[in-house]
Amino acid sequence: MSDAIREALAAAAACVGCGACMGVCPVYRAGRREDLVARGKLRVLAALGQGLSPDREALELLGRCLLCGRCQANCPNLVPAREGLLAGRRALAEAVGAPLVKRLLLTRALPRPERLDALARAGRLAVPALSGLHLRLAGDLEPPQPASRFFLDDAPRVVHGPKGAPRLGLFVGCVANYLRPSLARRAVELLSRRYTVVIPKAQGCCGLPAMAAGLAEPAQDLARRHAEIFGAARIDRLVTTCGSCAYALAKEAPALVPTPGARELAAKVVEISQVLAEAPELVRGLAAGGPPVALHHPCHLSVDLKVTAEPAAVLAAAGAELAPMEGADQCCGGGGLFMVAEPELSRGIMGPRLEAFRQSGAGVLATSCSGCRLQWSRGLTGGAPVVHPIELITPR
Amino acid sequence: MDSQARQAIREAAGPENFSQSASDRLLYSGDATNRSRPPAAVVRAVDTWQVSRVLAACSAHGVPLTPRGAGSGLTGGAVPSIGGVLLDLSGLDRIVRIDPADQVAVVEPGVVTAELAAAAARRGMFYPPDPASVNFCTVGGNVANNAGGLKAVKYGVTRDYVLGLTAVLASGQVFRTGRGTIKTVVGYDLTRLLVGSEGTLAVLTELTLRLLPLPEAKATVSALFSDLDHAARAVQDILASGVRPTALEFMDAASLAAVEAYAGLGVGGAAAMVLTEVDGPPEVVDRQGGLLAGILERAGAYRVDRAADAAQSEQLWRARRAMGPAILKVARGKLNEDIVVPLGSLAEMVARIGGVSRERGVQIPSFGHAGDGNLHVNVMFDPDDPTAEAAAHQAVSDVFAHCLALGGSLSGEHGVGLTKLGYVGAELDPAALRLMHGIKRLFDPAGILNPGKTLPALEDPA
Repeated sequence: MSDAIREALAAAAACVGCGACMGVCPVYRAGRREDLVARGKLRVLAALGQGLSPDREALELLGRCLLCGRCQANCPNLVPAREGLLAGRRALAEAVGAPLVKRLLLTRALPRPERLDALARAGRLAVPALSGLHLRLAGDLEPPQPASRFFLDDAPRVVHGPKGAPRLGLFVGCVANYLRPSLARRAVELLSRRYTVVIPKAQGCCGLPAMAAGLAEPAQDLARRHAEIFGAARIDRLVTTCGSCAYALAKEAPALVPTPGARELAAKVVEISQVLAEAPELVRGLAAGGPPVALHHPCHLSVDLKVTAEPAAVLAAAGAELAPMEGADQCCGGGGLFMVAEPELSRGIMGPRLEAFRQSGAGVLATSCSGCRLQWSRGLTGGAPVVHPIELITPR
Repeated sequence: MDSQARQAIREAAGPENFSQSASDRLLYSGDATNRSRPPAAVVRAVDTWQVSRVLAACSAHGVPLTPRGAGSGLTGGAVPSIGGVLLDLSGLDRIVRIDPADQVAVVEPGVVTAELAAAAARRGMFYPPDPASVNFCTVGGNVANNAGGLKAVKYGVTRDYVLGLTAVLASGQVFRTGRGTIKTVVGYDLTRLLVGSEGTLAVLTELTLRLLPLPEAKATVSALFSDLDHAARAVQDILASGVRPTALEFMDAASLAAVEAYAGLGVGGAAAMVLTEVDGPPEVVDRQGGLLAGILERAGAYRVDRAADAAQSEQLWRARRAMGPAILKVARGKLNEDIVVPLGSLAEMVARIGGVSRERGVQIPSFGHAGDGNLHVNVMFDPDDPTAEAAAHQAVSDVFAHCLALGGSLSGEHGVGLTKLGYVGAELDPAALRLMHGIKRLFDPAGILNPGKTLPALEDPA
């Protein structure tokens, strides 16, 4: 029995079926079906362990999860439901050789090759196959255009801060690198006022899409690579501009590659708002102006890393006008692969968020996660911009 | 289920609401007990008339039907224990109307209880019943099981809020009981008969529920005792004081030890903890909070804490809320019973549970709603040890015997379902049980509605 199967079955066996996950699962609340919630998925995992055939329906069922982590964060019996599900996906990838990612690409992308062609025509097949972007863009009706130059093509290896400044590593992430280099440049601009920023060129995807798809090996390769290159960079902290990358690097990578190096790196991971909130003078009075801002808290940042106050604190310090939005900490239904694989459920979860945005009176939506950003951009069809909070801060 | 029955039920349900897939049968096979059995088919309810057609088809073909809300029950009531159709009502989740003038809500049965309470609160109204599963259980399941909750000591149980129902008989006949009025004495009270009938008499498809105005404020007081009798006296004194608490919770030494080991809240070593709350206008709850603290001190508590704000109140509730996971650290297996005894017998019952625990060599942390005499008795065992499991079942029988001897009842709020079926014959008057069977035959002559549950068989079926 592989480690993945053992982990999945242990989680399934620990579940007593009380149903508490139903009260917090965004997918269940949108669809009210037992297959959508952790309890049901653990029941199926247990049955797979006892010989239920992993047919198409079972595979799809295990895919219907945002990985937001609310089930395990709120489980009265502390069942690691999400980790069990991730392990279950890895076990299935081993067992049936049809990992979810491949299935998704086949069923969702291939019937619409124009999505991938758009990338190819733009000469952007240089986007590594393992970047979650392929999947996300494949499912988008109008794929965002990759930037003409990627951030890491041109980024300096080190941007020196003041003499003796602490060293921060910048983890760029796929969205900032391929689609939004200006976000990464803004991060460097703000951070280098106080810190020395190190930007190793060999960095890649955080590995979350591969982890989510049950592809253990590539995710492990990425985790090892990052432990090595950022270890060599002698950094004090590793900064991301994406809550999902932060979660993958801080929580999942060290679980997949339990080496001292990976654990050490994981302990250094922060989202940029955490760094800026410590030093509000770096952003004081730099708000760009413009309409009131509604702030959305990404699940991986708020549920997994307990970061909720910092993005608001940074925007407030910068002097931005914040518009309170109901359910700001509720899931937007993005969830990386989820919005591609389950567009209807994804829209169902997004609906109340869009309504809350309209009610808030805000003209801009700010969120610190690349997945949420894509989801909100697709949802807010009225043209309200969707940005990372630091994009509302203009260094002078 | 033969192919004719399958065809008829599928057509009645609408093919898109009918599934016999391996996954769906598995997913809807259980509830929050460890019992399960896959149904032959899962039907997703979409409205009263579809439910009516499905029941008529089931009746015509003799196929049993088990109604299910969230599947969060603790007695196996929603387990399709003899197969047949599992009717999933969780999709009937519309809040039809919240009417502050009439002080009623009209809802479909799949509405989650907390969502009803939140929707009522947005209109300044209050739906008090709050079982521990309030965030995920459904109102329909609450009504079918007459669920209780923390606030029952002041506000009563689900039954006290059900004014009227739309229900479907096994034959498919749709009928209404009750009115949207606070009072009615016209006709037999079928509404109250259906509340707590556990899906054995009819399927509920719309509920008219009573609402109250939302209280303005609350105050929380907790106390630790080194002597169980002092804690019991504190409960008695509070109930007699004229202050009506909204919650009056009790935790025994074994459950406090479990919480201490799990969360380290400084409650270990205590013989009992009493946690109480009042609501009302701020100046009143302030005074009543002081009165409760005084009663607890005079009864001999060695520590009394009074919350000054919501955050402190949450802190006081932490020990109570940590109870579930804490006791699972004692042992992985748990038989969770919810006996209720006359108010004056609470201390005696807790002492007798201690005796059973020593005699049978099993740990039995107990806690619950002292203000209702309702105790959650958790008999712990190692599920991998058959001897321990047998001892646990013996301990449950002993506890039940003591409970009945003290004039108590075997279930205060969970219901009978499957898990208590073997025990309740000892509580029910044989003549009353015979009447219940007569009622069952009248509502469901073919016996297709949630069969094999709730009512024990007659010893002498005449």
